Amino acid sequence: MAGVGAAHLRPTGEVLLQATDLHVRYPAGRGRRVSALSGVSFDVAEGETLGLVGESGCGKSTTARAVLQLPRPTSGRVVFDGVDLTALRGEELRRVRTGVQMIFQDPVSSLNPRRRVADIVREGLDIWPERPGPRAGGGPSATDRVRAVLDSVGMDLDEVGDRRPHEFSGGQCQRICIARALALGPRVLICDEPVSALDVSIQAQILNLLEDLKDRYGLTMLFIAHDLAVVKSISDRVCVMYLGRICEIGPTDAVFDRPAHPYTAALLASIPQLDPAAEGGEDVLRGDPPSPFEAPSGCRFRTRCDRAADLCAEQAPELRPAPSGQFVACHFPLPGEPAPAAASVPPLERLDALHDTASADRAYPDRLAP
Amino acid sequence: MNRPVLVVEELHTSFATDRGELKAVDGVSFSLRGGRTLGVVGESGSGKSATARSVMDLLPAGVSATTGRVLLDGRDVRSLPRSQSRHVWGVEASMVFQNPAGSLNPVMQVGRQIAEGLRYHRRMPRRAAMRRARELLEQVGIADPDRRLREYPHQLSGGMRQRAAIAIALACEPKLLIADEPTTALDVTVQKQILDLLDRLRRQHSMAMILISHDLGVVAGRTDEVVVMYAGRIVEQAPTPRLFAVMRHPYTKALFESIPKVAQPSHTRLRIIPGRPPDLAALPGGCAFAPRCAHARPRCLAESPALSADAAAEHRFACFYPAGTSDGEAALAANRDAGRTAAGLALSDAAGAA
Ligand SMILES: Nc1ncnc2c1ncn2[C@@H]1O[C@H](COP(=O)(O)OP(=O)(O)O)[C@@H](O)[C@H]1O
Ligand SMILES: Nc1ncnc2c1ncn2[C@@H]1O[C@H](COP(=O)(O)OP(=O)(O)O)[C@@H](O)[C@H]1O
Ligand code: SF4
Ligand code: SF4
Ligand SMILES: [Mg+2]
Ligand SMILES: [Mg+2]
Repeated sequence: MAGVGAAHLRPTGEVLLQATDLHVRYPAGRGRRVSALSGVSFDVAEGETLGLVGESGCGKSTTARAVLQLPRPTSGRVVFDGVDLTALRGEELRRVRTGVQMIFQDPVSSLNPRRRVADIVREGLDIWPERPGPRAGGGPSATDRVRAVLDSVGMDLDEVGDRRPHEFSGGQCQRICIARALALGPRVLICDEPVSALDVSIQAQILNLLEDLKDRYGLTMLFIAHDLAVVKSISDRVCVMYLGRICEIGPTDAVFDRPAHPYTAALLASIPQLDPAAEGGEDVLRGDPPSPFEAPSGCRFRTRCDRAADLCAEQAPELRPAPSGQFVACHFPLPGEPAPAAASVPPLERLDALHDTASADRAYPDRLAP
Repeated sequence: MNRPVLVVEELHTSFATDRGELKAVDGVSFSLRGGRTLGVVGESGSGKSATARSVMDLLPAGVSATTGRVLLDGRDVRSLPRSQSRHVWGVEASMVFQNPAGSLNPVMQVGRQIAEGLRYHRRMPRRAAMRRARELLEQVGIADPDRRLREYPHQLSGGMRQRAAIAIALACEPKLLIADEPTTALDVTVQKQILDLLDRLRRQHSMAMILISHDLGVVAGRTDEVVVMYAGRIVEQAPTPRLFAVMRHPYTKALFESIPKVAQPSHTRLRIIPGRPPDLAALPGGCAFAPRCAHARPRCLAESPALSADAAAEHRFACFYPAGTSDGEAALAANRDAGRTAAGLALSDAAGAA
């Protein structure tokens, strides 16, 4: 079966997490199966953030769950810190997996409403008392650990420890989820749309917090969002997905500024511009993504692509190097011109002049208000 | 002269909640002329939907109370007898919601739903109404309209359902269309299709449109004028190009700066707005933004700022110490020197540390 290739993968020794040729099929009733991932491969180096972007249903959450073996992918391998997770079972898998933690889009419903915040954050420490492992240094008590991780998300154990999730806003619940994830001293944090349900002003708080935590704990992140600007702001590398396959993967600034895949370019051109003077442009993409039951042959994007030719229906394109440093899965990639979105937004000098960010960007503390 | 299609004067809406009266809309006024689009932006809970629903008379009578005037084409629609007002809503003024399920009946074929309004309000015969329904589906860009006419909403994709909801809203050729977060649930490529569609239809029908969104980017390129809401009030209002060039209200400015922008390189530090929006059932006195505002001075805690009248630039804002003015800069400088605002918000230079 034609996957999308592995030319873009770095040597195993240089990365902390590597997924190769992941396939996931879900049962879909009446004996049918739906293919959610078809040959997805990527890697993440230690301390790096890989952003995963694409429209709903393209397989972002499935990818995240496949990394955690929840459920185990139909086929493919996931290697974390030299250990093949797909070869582990039971207790051993669960132990290794404490090193990879996840936070979700809906922080409120991922917290048990009946438990106190202190117990929620402590949960994992009671199950794995010998964690937090190498990164905790000197093995503090569980309570000290809970205090430290709550503090690192801007919350005070004495103030919030006895309270329950419903007393907190969505943004604060996401902080609690992050603290819970950090308690076990993970090396990888998977964030599945962690700010999509939050208001803009709260979203910025959480994004800045994640950047700080990444520096502080040396975290490696897999960051999923459908909002391209959010993904760009936090990622070192970015992976664009469409209908269970990778279109384009590489350094964030290359992919955003010089997209090589027609789908990436279309996504970028669809972003509403913050500048009223930016010209609108015509419909960049027609129709909706096809249903995964009717995935087109060859290139899955061909039913919406205006560059599509006969070859596109016959052969699935493999990921190949593009001029700007990323890898692209397209038979007729774009020459790597600046993206229309990047070209038509106001230059940064103008934004600065208008909004005086230079003088104002330190006006606010990065912590929660008292 | 082009007379306003919609005039809203001193609109107040409150909900009775178990924690007391909640003022969701607190003295909102604006007007809108035919063929023009007004953008309404604000974070969730700021009163955008409550404003729209109050205008459209869609709020449940038992739990909510509305006062103020709503003039549609010069008629005070809130005081019309029921027999007349039912030919206003959905006919002269109609609405599209974030969730198209709000306007679609799950157990009725799409074609019949569109035809229904035409038969009831326009007394069109069944055949003619169905023909018109087919035309409308074509107009909103639904491929294969003959097949879709006979389908049920669950057989359509999210984007197509929103198109069908738009077809229903436009069936009777309203003068005013209110679109309340019409693309918030949709993917970005489909969002662009729907916003382009609304734009095209507004021009074709010379409709007035209110486009509600939490996304400043959505209103930037699609509206003639913008109002920014916070805690049930309009805090800033200006023609769209003016607003994006000169943001006077500290909330508008901070909101804009907290948005990640694709034009910026990755890892650009975001400006944040500390804290969160106030509880509308327990609003403190003074300016509702004061606890989060870097400019806040003692006056802001004592008095509530009114929306100014700056007729020349058609730019209004409700703030004692507006950004980019000498008063505003002086307030900010004084707070920086003191290390905190009058509301006790710490302004540290060591932001991000600890
Ligand atoms: N548990 C499941 N059972 C059946 N189909 C599923 C399940 N989870 C996801 N899918 C399908 O797999 C595809 C990818 O879904 P998902 O990974 O959730 O996408 P994304 O996170 O990018 O929105 C979609 O077509 C979705 O409907
Ligand atoms: N039916 C209702 N009953 C009680 N409170 C309501 C009701 N509808 C809205 N509210 C409250 O009114 C305020 C404004 O809500 P809304 O207009 O929906 O905000 P927005 O559309 O800007 O997100 C919020 O505090 C919300 O909780
Ligand atoms: S392979 Fe063909 S159809 Fe696919 S994106 Fe490239 S040009 Fe378009
Ligand atoms: S300066 Fe005062 S009046 Fe203006 S927004 Fe801030 S707190 Fe409100
Ligand atoms: Mg998902
Ligand atoms: Mg709303």
